[in-house]
Amino acid sequence: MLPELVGVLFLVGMIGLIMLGIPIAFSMLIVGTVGMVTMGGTLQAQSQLILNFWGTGTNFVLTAIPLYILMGQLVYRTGIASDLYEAVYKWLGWLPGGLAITSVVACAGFGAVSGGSATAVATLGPMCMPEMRRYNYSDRLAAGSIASAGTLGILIPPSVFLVVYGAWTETSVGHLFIAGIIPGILMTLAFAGMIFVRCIITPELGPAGPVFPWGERFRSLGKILPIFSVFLIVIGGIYGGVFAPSEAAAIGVSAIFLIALVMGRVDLSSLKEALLGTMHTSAMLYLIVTGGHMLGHFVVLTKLTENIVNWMDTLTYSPLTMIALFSIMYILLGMVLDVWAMLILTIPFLFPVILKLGLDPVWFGIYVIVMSELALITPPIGVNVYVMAKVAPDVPLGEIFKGVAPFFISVLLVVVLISVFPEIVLWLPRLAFG
Amino acid sequence: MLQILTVMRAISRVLDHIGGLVVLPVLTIVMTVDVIMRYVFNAPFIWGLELDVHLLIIIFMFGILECTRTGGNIRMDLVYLHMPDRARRMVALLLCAIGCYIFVLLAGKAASEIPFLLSIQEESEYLHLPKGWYYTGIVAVSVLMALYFALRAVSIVIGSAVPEDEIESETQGEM
Repeated sequence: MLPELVGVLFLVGMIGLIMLGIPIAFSMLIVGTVGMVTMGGTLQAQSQLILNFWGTGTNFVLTAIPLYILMGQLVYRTGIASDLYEAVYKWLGWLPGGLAITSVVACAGFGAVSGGSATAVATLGPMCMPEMRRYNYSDRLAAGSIASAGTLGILIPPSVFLVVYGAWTETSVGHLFIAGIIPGILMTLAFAGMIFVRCIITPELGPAGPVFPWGERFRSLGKILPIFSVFLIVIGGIYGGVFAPSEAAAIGVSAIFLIALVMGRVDLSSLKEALLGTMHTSAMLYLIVTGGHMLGHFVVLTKLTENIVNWMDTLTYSPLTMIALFSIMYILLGMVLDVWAMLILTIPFLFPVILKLGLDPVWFGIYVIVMSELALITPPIGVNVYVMAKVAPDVPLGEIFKGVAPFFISVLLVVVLISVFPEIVLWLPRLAFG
Repeated sequence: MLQILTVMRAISRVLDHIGGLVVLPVLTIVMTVDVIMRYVFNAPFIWGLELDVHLLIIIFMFGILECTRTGGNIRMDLVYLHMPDRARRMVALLLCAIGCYIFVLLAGKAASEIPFLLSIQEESEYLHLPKGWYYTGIVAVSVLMALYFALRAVSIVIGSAVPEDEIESETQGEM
């Protein structure tokens, strides 16, 4: 049988396994392993298994994974996240749709000190939702804004998704982190601007909240100081070349821990929960990254990537047309696949194509993460929407999905912007690293 | 059988606790102090990076059993949740077979390399951490994983466990 056909059959099989409910990591591991047994024999598959388990486990870049997760866990469990929400609320709550805007900005702030997405929804949802209800916000806007804003966490550095992308494609994580800053801010502004405009047109969607005196507002700034300073240390350190992203993560964890300790927010049980919670997520990601590597090696053996790149070479489409096609593909995949599955299935094929098209791997990393943000809110399996449904069980799932629709369009607009003007992504890393 | 699963659960928790409550804080402290030593005292730990990665693999390996046992691996349960009970059991058995196969292969290969690694005394450059011992750890964890999947399969077949025990929302493992 042709190796390419073997590759296609195994990949279809993997999608089948994922759909059946086999964990993504195990689906990749088994397809990669059995595929390699088929192509090169059991010994080769076994050698690749041990090489990948050892190589991934001892990859210095990946030390960032447990550390950034721990950073987010500490922010979540020490109440620093609620301080952030309170401060932003005092500054922006009075605007039309101000409480929803507050949720967006608070999620962006939370994303600046944590690496993921669903935690932001789970952490800030219980704070934001009751407040918006108190001011008679539409459930659709309230739940939709929190579910969508949670996605900002995977784009705004530090981002665990970017670390994994960097490890898979051997792209500098430092470059990726710095590149994520401007699109992250842009996305936050797009979300906030959209809420503001909608609430001006239809005020009953999100009435303005209370106006706080200036003195109180300025006093509240002290509450965002911990998150702001940690973000500054971590990202400033990477930007200035003071330390590597992994080291920055360790410094960030230590800084958050010390700040929380000084504020009297650390107790043994929450610390234990944070550490054990980090273990679970890190182990889960370890298996996914290892599975991704196994699958990648198998795909290379089948020459599928090589053939796709050669085929793409014969197409005469411009890079922008190709990006548009990729975007449609990602939106469709986001409807049926989990974000990790989507990334694992596409990156081994698209990355060489992207290089062939002359596109920057850092730009592609940010683009892929933005597309992943869409997948997190796309029906029927948008993870953030389900987390939000747990936070607000009385809001029907359909209402939340309708609520995220305008945010979906905002993300698409940002995709168009960064595709037409790649400098939005690349300017800052070029400025920092040349 | 229930007793074996109880012992397994205890081992899994101990490994998880060692990784999370001991190794992870040590990793954080070593990396932080290394950066401080480098910039403040111009005296970085020459062995810092080496220790970091050897701690990292302990964190990962010690966490996978508990993560798997508690249903922490991301999965898409959209179709699964609508399956009849019999089909769910089949899927759970398939997962057990997959897990067993992968970790038996891994344990076999790692075990076969240990004598060679020990004979040539392959170790890390500065701290002289023997790679053979790490491979022994990989073998031990892989055997535990394979054993867990095998026991799980048996308990599903004899009906003492329902597949849902291990199934939680796909957000369980999300960050």
